[in-house]
Amino acid sequence: MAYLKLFKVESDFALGFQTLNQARDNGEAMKDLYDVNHSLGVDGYMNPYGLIGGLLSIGRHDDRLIARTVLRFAVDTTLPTPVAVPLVGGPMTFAPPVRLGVGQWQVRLLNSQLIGAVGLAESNAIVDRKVTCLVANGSGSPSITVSTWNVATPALADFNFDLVVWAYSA
Amino acid sequence: MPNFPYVPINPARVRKDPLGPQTLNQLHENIEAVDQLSRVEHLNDGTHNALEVPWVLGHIIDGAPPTGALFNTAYGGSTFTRPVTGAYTFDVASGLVTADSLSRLQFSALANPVTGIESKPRTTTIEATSATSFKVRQRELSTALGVVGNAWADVNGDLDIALHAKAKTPSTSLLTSRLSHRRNEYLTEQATDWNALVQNQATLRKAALVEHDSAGAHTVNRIAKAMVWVRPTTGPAYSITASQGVSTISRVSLGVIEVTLTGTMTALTTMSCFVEGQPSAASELIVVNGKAFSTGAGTTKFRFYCYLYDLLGPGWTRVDRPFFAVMFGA
Repeated sequence: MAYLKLFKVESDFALGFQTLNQARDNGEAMKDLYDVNHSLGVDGYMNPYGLIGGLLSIGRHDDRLIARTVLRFAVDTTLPTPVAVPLVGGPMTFAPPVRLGVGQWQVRLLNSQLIGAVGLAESNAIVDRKVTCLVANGSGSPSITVSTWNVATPALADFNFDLVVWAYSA
Repeated sequence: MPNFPYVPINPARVRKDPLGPQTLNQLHENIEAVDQLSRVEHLNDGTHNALEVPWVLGHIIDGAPPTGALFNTAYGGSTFTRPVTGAYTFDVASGLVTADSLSRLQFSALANPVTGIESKPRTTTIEATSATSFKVRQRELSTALGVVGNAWADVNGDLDIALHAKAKTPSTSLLTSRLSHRRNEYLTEQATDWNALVQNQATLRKAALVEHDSAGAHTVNRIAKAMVWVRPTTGPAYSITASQGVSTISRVSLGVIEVTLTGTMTALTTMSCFVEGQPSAASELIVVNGKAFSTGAGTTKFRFYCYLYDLLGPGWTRVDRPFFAVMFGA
């Protein structure tokens, strides 16, 4: 629908059907504009009581060019078995990381299809750090196997890391 | 999330159709529903307001002192320093990065080295030195490719950065409040509400067009123009597994891949990318770097360079591996 700015009135005015239809079309045009890259729900009409399409709540970006979720994990090595504590996360739902071993975590996300993830190591004066991400799609929840490296050794090591994840709905 | 759905007004009106209050009220509610939807991830001035859209994005240009080519400088990037070799600091707007109840800063970041990556792999790390200042460190392999050894050193060079932070509190609506139309009222008795409908449609559209075009596509440079997931195939060559905004890819040589975009970018210094190699196994150490390569219509390109550390062989070498990349630019 094309958008056309309507006129304001200052006194009695006969409102014709064409003007009404343009007002209707303007609403449709604005809805359609946001529908391109945002979730409008499964029915496409923002029904807050309906199913959520692609596990995205209404209004969230649904665009391959925008990250589906952004994560930041603080690895707590003071525990007998280190854990990765999520400090930042969302909007795509993810499960707590599963530790596979020193410097290796599996981050499982709820979505139809993962495209990729980019990671960045956080440092506190230790600079030879690198994050790699192995993305696995398939049946069930897709996952990212994150490996955190001390490249100078080289060896896997535990440290804080950030992930930005791109995905799309089926 | 919107509190009520959008209800299409069907069918279109024809001559002599009666105009009732329900139609007018639905026209108002439909615009209000779209306004609520827009404010989930946009401020009421039209700016994107989401964790997934970086607040600070662009290029740090090496120098003494370094400078920046960043988008949306309202949120950061007015001050750059290079305190020691390979270290770059940049600032962000106060209040952009907040702390949780345990005083842990709520941010996530990406950094991509650019200079010299054609020859050697480089890595970057990031550190928040305060809620308004960040430091990126850059290292490069000192050992030659194909030679046993794994020495790394601080190195200067241009960088791409992206800083994500939690969304700000959703904006209040800018729409004009209005009365509901009631049965048996003349339109003229509520003429001000017709004007409110017109004004609200215009207000919503003006905000939407700040960072979208009329077709709904994003026009802001903090949102990627292209993404690609590629993998090596027989040939040797590369193929695309998933992409958007990409025209073609080509394998220039072992471990060197060129991606041509469908769109046009005009300046290398305003082009950024972030890339992650996907190792053959989680225990494989690879580094993939990327950089803006050329501009122009049909010739806007990025190049990516893949390196592998061979534990059983001659140190670091070039290699063909799958990778995922997102590309930004003006």
